[in-house]
Amino acid sequence: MKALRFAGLGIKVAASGGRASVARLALMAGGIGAGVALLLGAAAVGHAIQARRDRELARVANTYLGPHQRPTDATLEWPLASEFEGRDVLLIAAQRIGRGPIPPGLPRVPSPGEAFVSPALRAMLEGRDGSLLAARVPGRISGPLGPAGLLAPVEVVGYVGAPAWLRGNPTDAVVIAARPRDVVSGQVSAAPLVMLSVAALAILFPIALFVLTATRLSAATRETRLAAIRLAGATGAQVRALAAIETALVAVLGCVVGGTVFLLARRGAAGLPAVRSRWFPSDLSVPPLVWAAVLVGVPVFAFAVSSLGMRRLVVTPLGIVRRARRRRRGAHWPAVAGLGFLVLGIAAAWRDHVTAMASPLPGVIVLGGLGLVLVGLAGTAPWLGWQAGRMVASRAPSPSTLLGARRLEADPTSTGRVVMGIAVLVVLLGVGQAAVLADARDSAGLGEGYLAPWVSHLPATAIIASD
Amino acid sequence: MTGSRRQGVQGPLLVAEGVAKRFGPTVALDGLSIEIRGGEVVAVVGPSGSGKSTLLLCLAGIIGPDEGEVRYRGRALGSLSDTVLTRLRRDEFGFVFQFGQLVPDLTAVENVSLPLRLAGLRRRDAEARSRAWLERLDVAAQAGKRVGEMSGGENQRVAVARALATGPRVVFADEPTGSLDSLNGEVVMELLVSAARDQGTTVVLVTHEARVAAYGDREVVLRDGRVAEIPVLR
Repeated sequence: MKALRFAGLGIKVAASGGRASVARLALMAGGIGAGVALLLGAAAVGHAIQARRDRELARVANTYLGPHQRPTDATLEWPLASEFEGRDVLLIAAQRIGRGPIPPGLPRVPSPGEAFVSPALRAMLEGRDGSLLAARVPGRISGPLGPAGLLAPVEVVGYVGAPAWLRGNPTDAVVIAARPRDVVSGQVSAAPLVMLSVAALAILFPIALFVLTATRLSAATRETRLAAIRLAGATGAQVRALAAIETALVAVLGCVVGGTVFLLARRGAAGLPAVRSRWFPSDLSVPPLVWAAVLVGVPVFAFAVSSLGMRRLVVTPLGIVRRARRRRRGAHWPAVAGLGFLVLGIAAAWRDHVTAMASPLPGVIVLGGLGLVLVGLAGTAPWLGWQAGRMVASRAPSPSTLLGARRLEADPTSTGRVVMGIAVLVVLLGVGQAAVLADARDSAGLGEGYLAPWVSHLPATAIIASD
Repeated sequence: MTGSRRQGVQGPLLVAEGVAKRFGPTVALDGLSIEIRGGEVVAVVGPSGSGKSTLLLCLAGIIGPDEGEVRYRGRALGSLSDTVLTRLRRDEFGFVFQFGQLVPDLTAVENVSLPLRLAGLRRRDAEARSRAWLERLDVAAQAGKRVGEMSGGENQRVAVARALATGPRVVFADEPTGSLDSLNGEVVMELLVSAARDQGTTVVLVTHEARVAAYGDREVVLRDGRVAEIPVLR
């Protein structure tokens, strides 16, 4: 009860500030909000990529029969890719044997003379030249192919019951023995996860710098306030807790702002033609676990960081004393960054070997290299600033230059932070772009694998004729 | 926490014995000794740099002396942990400084309730007691205002209310009228001393103004970190 009262006092102290204090809190909440919104956005994009990949993998989870094998409890599929009016059309003739799995998006495997088509295919069939296309889709349309069976809302795809002439050739079929996701688990590319991790770092790093800079605003007022509270009888631990509550409160506000911005932005994005054609609205959702992790994790992280940061401050009734350690500014930081670049370079040069490694290793190598680059750059920028300050100060032609250089030498971290933020962002964007390209390449390869046997067995313009 | 409880205190409440304090090469206090009895109002006077404020901070346990000892009710402050000292400051001491002792983000009533709430009192109870003190010091109308929205005199009255609201045994006042004009200074001193006397609170008053020092029962004059004159009872 006492702790609750104290927390209430902390919230009161945090919430009732002057203009500068309110501006500082608003900037911090805005920064955290932007971070949360972008983080949720990255999670949504990751989820969308994963959802599409899952549907793709569910469709192509297949095995092929040997010359004398007979399928039991399987669904045979004969996919046929063709083109109509410049658009790719995929028709899949299907036959269920025993308790074979039902393709995703279908209520049942179509019987001969029956078809289930995607909304886009149906629209084409009902269009001006639909009769030409209808010749390739035998039988009556029994219903729609649901979103679970579509890679994208505009995909032109349909399932038809396999005609008799195909049923006689099971060795040409793709045999779907099982559809559950565990069949394909482990085949998921690490690229989306790496991309997400990089995106999260790319987003959070500059925002963390922004929040750090914002906390310096009205620092004098804050210190006066903390000292006054200490004079009023708060213990050192209570004052640190009050400051941490303030930060956590700002983080909660930031989460609310960020969550709201994300939901609004997602609604807006879902209406864009480019997004609407590629993704289902449900693809852009964020899993509840990620929501919970962000909404709880960010304030807890902020609270922890603030508490740790306050450990160096000794709040006395007369003011704040910093337990400063003389920082050695060594030349080893560029070497650390260089080592990180080397690791990333090796990973890029031997990409095939790295991606072939067991599951956590590729991620460890890439993120480890990135970590070294980040830490190295974080240390290098202040070191460069310190060196530059010393050099300029020793040759300063004017008092203003001397003052500026000495200030830079005394506190190179503040200036270095901005430079470091830009440098890190450039590095992360580069790595992120590489991950996106790798993911695109992987996705393309997946589709080819599914259709490959058919490209070699049938002419591209073949028609699946009915019995 | 009533005045009657304090009436019986006869022995020294605060004792500084051979206290020395240096800030680098500067000697602020040079083996100073002083005794303060319960319920008395002591004015510590002297020129700038004579060590008045340093003495007050040592007596309140905010800073520790390099040599010597400060005892409060027989207990050496130097032997107490930071937590105990903090509790002492919260429950038994009150402070009125020239400025800076109020939390700028809180309203007057919240400032006065702060030490009460830190001591665990319910908000409603703390604010009720605080409002009574604000009324007594004639600043009830300012209860909802923040530091920046009040005049210097009003701020000091709020500070006095906060210092006395916990029913402290000792109030340490360092140049409490330093930022005020003479009229407001008189009013604040009048209120501080009369309220303190009403509840038997000891007041250690640091000032360089003779008219403020005149509110004390006795004066202790400091010069170069030492007591320059033998305290004279008024």
